Amino acid sequence: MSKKDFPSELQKKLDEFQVDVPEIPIKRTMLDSIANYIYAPAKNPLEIFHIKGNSITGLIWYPFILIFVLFFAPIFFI
Amino acid sequence: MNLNKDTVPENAGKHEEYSLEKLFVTYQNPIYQFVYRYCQDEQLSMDIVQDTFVRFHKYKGNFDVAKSSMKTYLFRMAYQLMINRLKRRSRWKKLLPFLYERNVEQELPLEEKLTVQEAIQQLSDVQRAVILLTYYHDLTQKEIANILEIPLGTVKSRMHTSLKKLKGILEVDE
Repeated sequence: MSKKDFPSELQKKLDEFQVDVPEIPIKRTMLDSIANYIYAPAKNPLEIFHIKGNSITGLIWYPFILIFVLFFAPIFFI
Repeated sequence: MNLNKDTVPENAGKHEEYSLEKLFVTYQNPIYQFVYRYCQDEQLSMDIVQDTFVRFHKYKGNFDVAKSSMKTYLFRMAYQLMINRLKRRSRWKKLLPFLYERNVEQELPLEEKLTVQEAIQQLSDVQRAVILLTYYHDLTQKEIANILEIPLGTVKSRMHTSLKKLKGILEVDE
């Protein structure tokens, strides 16, 4: 099976997926690797606490919860 | 354009004849496009292209023109590197999910059709590879079997199922 055997409507749709190739150096330098690692998009770590940009009240409560946990934690070790 | 025939010299069996720069210029675009269409991650695709040629430089002695063409050999290397990187990434994702950006899942209204990029992502790993290599890189089923290291019969069946699935996703009637 080759490209020609694809239905023409599907061919049209697949042709929409064009990829522009960026300039790629033949070798990667250490500096590039570090820069890529640092600038790689990462998920907002606060998402696991269900804190969004506008939920400032939630953000305020977390330190109190932490203090509360730290205060009562020694009880479990007595 | 058939890269297999156009760019590889006749005395290709002698690996000394290869210039890494020439091969890079010839194959960086198709390899990048294949990897990008597969994973849709620009940085990963660039890394894979570079790693493929570094690996080729290291193991070019293993290349045998009687077994495969240069294009097939490089695509196989790129595919293996990409699969390993994606597996490693998925392991890290499970361990440290907050380090990875979650794909933005947009709920599309039912009447709105999926884009071809989204449709390709919905195919399974091997189905996606088979479709991409057949359509965008004009590779034969034998060459695809060589790249993916699966039997020819499996390529044929995967091609059939993935084409059917893709038609269904994109709502193509023919």
